Amino acid sequence: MDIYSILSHPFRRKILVLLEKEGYIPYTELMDRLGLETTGQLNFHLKKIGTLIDKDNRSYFLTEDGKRILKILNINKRILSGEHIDDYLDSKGSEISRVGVIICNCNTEISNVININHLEKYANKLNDVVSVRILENLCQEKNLDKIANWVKDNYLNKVVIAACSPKTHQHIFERIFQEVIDHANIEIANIREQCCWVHHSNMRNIDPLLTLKKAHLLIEAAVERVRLQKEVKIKRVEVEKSCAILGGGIAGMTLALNLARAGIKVYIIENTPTLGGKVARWHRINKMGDCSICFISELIGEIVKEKNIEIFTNTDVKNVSGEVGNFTIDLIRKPRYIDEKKCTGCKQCIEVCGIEKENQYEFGLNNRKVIYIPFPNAYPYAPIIDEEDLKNCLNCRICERACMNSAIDLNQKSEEIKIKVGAKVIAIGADLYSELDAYHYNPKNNIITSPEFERILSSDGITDGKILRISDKKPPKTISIIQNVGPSKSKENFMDPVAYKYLSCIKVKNPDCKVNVFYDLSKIQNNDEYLLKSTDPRFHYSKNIKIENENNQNIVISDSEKYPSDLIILNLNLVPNKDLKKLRKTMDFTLDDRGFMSEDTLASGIYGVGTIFGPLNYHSTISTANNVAVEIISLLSQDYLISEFTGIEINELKCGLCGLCMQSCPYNAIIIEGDKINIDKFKCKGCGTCVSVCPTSAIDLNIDTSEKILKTIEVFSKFNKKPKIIAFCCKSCGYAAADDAGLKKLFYHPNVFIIKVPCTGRVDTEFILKSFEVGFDGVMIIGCRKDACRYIDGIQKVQKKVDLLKKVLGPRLSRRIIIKNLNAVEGAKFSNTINKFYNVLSEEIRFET
Amino acid sequence: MKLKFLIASLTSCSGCISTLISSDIFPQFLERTNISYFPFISDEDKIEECDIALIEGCISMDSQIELLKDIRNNARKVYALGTCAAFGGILSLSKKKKAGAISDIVQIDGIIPGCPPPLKLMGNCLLRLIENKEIELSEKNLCSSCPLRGNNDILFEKQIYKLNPSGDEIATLDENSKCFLNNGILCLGPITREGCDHICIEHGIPCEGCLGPVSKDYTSNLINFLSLVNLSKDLRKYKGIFYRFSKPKIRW
Repeated sequence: MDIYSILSHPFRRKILVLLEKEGYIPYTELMDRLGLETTGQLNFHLKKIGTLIDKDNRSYFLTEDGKRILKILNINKRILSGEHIDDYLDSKGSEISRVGVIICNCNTEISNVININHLEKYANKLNDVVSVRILENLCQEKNLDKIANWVKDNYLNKVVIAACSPKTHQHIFERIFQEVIDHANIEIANIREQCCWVHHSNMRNIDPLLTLKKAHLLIEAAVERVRLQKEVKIKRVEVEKSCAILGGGIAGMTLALNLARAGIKVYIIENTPTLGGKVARWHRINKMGDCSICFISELIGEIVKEKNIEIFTNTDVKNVSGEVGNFTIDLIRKPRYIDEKKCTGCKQCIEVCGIEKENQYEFGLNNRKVIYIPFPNAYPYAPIIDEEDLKNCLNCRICERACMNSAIDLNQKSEEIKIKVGAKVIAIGADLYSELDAYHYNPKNNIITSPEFERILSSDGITDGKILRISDKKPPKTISIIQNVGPSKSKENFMDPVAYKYLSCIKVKNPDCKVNVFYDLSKIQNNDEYLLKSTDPRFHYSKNIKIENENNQNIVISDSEKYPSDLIILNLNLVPNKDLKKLRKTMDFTLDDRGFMSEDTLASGIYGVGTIFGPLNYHSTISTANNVAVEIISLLSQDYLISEFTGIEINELKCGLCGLCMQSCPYNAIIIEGDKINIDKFKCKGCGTCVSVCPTSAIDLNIDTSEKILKTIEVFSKFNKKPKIIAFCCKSCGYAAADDAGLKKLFYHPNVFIIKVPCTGRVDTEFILKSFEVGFDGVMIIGCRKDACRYIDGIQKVQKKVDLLKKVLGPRLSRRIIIKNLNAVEGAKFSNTINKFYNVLSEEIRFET
Repeated sequence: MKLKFLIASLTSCSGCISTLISSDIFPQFLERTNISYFPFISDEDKIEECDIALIEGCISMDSQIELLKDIRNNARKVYALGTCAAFGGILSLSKKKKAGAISDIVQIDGIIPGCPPPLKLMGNCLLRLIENKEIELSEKNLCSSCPLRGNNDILFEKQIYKLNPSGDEIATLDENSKCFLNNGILCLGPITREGCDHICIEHGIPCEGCLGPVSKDYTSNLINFLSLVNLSKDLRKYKGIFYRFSKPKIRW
């Protein structure tokens, strides 16, 4: 029976498709899958299919002939006339390449610089290229049908798009091809940002042919890369309709309330014993009538009422695994020693306790007992004993006996909890600046910090809301507020509202008191702006501020003028939370230059709210929390997330279990146990650092393979003008900086070829040597700034390799490798670095010849 | 049918060919093949068409390039015998002399690595060649079957500060011994091909990497590897380890 007659019946086609997908299927299951009732019908079709399938003692499977036929069908899906095409979509990619090239003219942005028809001709001659099309604007919706038909008519299974940077429109392109081509099989040749916009012949005397040649090679390299792409497996993740929020301050609580009301299960995880965060201890919030504890307790009340919210106080995060849509978080609930459910909050235990400690919730201004309630409106309202304190207490167990409800259990142990969530939010807020020696900070000597002053102002605080000096409990006659006490050169100017708030509070409570506010201009960036604001006579802007003590009187010396002050308030700046560094690895985010969380590099499914990104006032905090809530709701409203695993794959036939990959992995995603090596695909982020060190090439990334990168280097080496420079740029910073140079149209020489790597840690010494071998004169590695690397320390790892390599290569060649740390907006630095490097190299080459 | 063999030497210590001649398999090899050109033992100096060419030694002179091209044109398959022919070999340590692998000049069909090739590995390879089959080498590294493997976790924290163990340490080696890397001794096992049956390691000496890498080049592998370990200052200055058996193929 000929192939066409076999394929003519939909049942027979379905049998073949099922067998290709599953490999082996037993007879009964096959019948089930086809929805057949009688064996006769199935027997008939199996017989007709003949040599394309075979049977061992249990199951049916495809013969070599059968596999070949399916491969042909796979390219020519149209034979299947639409009926079962869906079945193919999850086994995409094929060993046979039919590449289509689209050149997007971007409204003549390309043709203004280079001859686009020449580009088309060149692309037509490349390996496996079936069809080339020039479009004006690929990114516009109206092209959708046109493109889909073009792909179908030419039986394309791979596409190269020569257009703008993948950073700009990659997702749009992927959406255009969503139905017809899998995104692993789409390559983008960045001929706009990295060629036409930066090598414009009008800029300097650049030979337009060089720009054209570069565009040729960019397209050729993309074609070669897409040809080398192998099949990628697709993963479907069921979305867990829940969210974990780390931190129970106002940001976390507002967000939790929003989510819970949208029907999402929320876990609030707070590592202190109470909800409320820092704001709960403030006197009042600027431009809000209520005192803070009043509206915070109202908010807590609403949270407690909400059924969808579960609160874990006194709880730490131990480990996080999984991916967007489905994270598993391991928590450790530290012992509280008091059963919250039994406790009635009668405080009997606190009264009988004999030992006092400094109260950290009043910033050490007064004492508390070992067993204590953090502050009057704490939630849960039950006492706690700190784990540390219990070790050092008398162990008299009087509290245990005093409790009528036997809620106290001094033998309580920490408890492990596992939760599953679809998204995770970090809302742990910021810390307050604490290096105050230069200001002679001493509350007993009436030099206090802003949080301490808040406690003085608060009606539940140590002075019952009266403004009194701590040393002698007398009302102060003169108060000095020193602004911007924090790390030098901070950009933030959220200090003014705080000062106004204090001014108005003091005016109400202590009308005769004289207040001065001091700014140290040496500590402020852009201090011109501050000078413009200095209309209030109580505000002093000086170049130098000192605090001195003369005859038991504190004096603020502003430049040369002296201001005697009964009370000095140091208005503290916010600094990054000290827990951020610890959380960075488990929660997966990066830090910016200042040490706060970096907003731009957050991966999907991870969010941050509140002062975690830097100082923020109350109103902005609430509005960002609301924004993030909308984002999370839209993510979690999907039932499934379809994702392709882009990460590493191990060939066990080559792996010698030497453990080098394990050593290099920043996430401990590789585990070797006995004779087995395993990848935790949930932990793997696809940085490729392990690939770069594997001595047997047993590990490779499934998309950014070494083969592709080496081939790209080879293609780029065809450029015909010296000095030739190759630049390995990490996708989040280096490549983005190159794009930034493009967007700003900053000139650099066309002799530079950029290769995108997931992380600079991916750069193998082999790539550098290969570049020199094929004739490149210089190698640049452009990655993130230290401490801002998305993959923790990729840039340090490549630095180590390069240091060793420079020793091997000797002084002449080691001048030809440079490593640069840039962030995504430093396009100007990018083009400067390249031009400088270009000049050095051309000088050297001239000298040699 | 007997295959026609050609065995030639370039710059080398002749150790590989000596090993070949003194191996147990050599009488069988002579019996089952026709040898057309083998200057080491015969006077015949004309290169004529043959099936398989085995080449020992590295390229260090221009005259050798001609000879090599001539052989390539006449032989159906060319194999590099020993580390010098395969990677450049010990001459790479020299600053003045160049030491090229034969694969830099002509295309080759395979390598029989080792300095000299371990008897078992060479025997197996030759038998396959006699039977007109392709050479099969392990694609794993030495660690995969290392006798010191089972006793310890893989750790790299310890500082690597020496190249060889002291006499006492060699004497006390037994089945409970730890990986060299855990004892601060540089062992190149992780970046070296499996196939030597751990001759050196069983005698208490760390791997020097004579079998060469499985993939990538020797220098890349070594640098990638050393970037992960905590290398002492003295070792970092010692350039010898980087060129012991091959040099990167770039213009100097």
